[in-house]
Amino acid sequence: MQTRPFGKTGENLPILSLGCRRIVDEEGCDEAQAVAIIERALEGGIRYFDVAWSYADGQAEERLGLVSRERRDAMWIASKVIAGDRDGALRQLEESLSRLHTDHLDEWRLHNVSTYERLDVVTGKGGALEALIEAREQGIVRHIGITNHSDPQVQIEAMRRYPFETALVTLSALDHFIYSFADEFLPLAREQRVGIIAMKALGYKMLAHCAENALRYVFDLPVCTVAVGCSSVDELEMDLAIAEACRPMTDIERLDLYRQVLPLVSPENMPWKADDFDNPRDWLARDSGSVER
Amino acid sequence: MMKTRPFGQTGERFPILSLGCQRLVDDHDCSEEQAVAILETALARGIRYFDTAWLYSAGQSEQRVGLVAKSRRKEMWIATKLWDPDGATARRQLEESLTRLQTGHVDEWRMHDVHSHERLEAMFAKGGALEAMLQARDEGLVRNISISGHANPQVLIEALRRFSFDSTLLALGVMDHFIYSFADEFLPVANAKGIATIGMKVFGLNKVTGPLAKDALRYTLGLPVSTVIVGCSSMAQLEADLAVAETFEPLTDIERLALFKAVMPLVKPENMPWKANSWSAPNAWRTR
Repeated sequence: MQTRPFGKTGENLPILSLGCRRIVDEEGCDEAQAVAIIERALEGGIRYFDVAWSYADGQAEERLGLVSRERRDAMWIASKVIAGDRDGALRQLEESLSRLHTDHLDEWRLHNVSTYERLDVVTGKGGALEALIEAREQGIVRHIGITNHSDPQVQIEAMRRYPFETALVTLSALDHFIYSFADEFLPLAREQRVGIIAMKALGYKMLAHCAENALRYVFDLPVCTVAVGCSSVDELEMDLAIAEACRPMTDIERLDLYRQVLPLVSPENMPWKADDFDNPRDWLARDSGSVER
Repeated sequence: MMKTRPFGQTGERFPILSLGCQRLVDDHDCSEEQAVAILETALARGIRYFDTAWLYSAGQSEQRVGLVAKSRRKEMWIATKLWDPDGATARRQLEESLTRLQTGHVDEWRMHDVHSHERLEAMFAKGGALEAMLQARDEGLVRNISISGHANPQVLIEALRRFSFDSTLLALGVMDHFIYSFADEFLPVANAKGIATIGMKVFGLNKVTGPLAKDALRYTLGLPVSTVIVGCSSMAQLEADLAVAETFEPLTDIERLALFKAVMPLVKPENMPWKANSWSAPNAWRTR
C-alpha cells in the first residue's frame, strides 16, 4: 500500500486506516470478529487505528485494547475526548488508556468540534485543550488533534486559535458538494502541514454501491490517510483491495462519480452536516461566529 | 453600484461584471445599433472592461467595439486576442485589431484558447506569438500580456511557469466545476502569484438559462477571480446580468448545491464543446 507523510509528525502512514467505531456489538460485530478485523488490518499493512472514548460506551476502545495489549508497537492509536472541560477530559484519558491497555496514545483529539460554541468551550479557560497540552507535555500523548464533521470555517478558526498537529474531517464525495473541507480547509492544512485523516469516505454506507470510486476519490485528495470503518472482515478485505490497487481517477471517472452521488446529497443522508444528527431534516445553518471572534 | 476588485498587479480595479463582446454581431442577431446601445449602457452602468478577439465574426465584434472606442477610449479597458501562434501572423492580427478598434493601443493582448501543450509550444517557439507580444509591448501597442484557457488547467499552469503573464481568461462557469476545473486546479496557483483572472463561459454558451441563469452568474462572481465577462446580444440580457451584479451576494452552500443538482444533467461534451474532443461535433470529453 502507498504511504504518505503525516503532517509534521515525521511518520509515514499507509493511505488506508481503520476506523474502529463499528467493531462493536451494536453493529453486529462480536469480540472474535473485532479481533479478527484488527489482526487482518495489521497483516494487510494498516498501522493507524482511530477510536474514541465515547464509542459504544467504551467497547470500541476495549476491543482495540485486546489487540494493542500484544501488538502496541505495530499500532498508531488515536483516541478522542468528548468532555469539554480539562478535568473531565483527563478522566476520559485515564479510561481510554486503561481500556486500550497502554500507557500512551500516539494521538489524542478533541471530538466533534463542529460549532463555534463547542470550540469556545474546549479552547476556553479550563477547557479540554488544556488537558491535551498537559498530557503531551507529560508524554502520555504524542500528538494532539481535532475533529470536525460539519463546518470548515469552524475548523479554520480552530487552527487560528491553536496549531493542532492533525485534523480528522469529513471528506467523502458527498461532502464535496456542501460545506466542503476539501475546498475550504485543505489548502490551509497543506500550507500549515497539518496531518489530515479523512473520514466518512463511504458516507455511512450510502456510497457502498460505488465503494471503489468513492474511496479512490478520497485517496486523490491531499490527505495523508483515510479511516474507513468496518464491522466485518469482508468489508475490510474489499477496502484493502481497493487501497492496494489504487490509481488516480481521471476527471471523466470523477465526473461519473459526481453524477452518481449528487442525488444522494441530502440532510437525511448526511446527518453530520444536518441540523439534527438524530432527526436530520435541513442542512445545518452555518454559524455566524462566536463571542471570542 | 457594483463592487470592484483589484486586477492582479496592474494597479487597476474593475467592477465584478465585465462585457464579453463576441455576441455583439449579426451572427447573434445583434445589429450595429443594438451593439452600440449595449456598449453605451455598459459604460453608463459602470462596466469598464471589454473583451473581444481578432477571430470573432471576421472582425465584426472588434469593429463594433471600435464604434464606441473611437470617442470613449479613455473610459474603456480593451482586451483583444491573437489567434495564430506564428509571430508574424499574430503581429498582422494586432494591426488589424487596432484598426478595427480605432485605437493606437490595447490594454491587454491575449493568446486565444491555448487548449493544449502543443499549442502552447507553438506560441512560445522561436518566432512565435510570445515574441510578437513582447515586441508590441515594447512599442507601446499593448500594455499587458495575457493568455486564455478553455480546456486544460494544467496547460495554463505550465504557461505561468514559463512566463509571468499579467492576466488569464478562464472557463469558469458552473458546468466547468465538474470537469477539468480551473477553479480547483488553476485559481489557487494564479492567486498565489497575484495574477489577474477573468472568468468566462458563465452560461456555458447559453446552455444554463432561464431560472438557472441568475445563480449561475452568482456562482462565477463568487469565485476568487478579478472580474467576470458575460456575453450579451441584447439589452435585456445585459440588464439582467447587471441586476445580479449590482446586488451581488455569494451563493450559500445550500443554494450552490441546488444549482449543482439542476446543472448536472447538462454537463456533457455536447454542451461543453470547449472541453470536448471537437468544437464542431463534440461527442466525447477531450483527454488530457
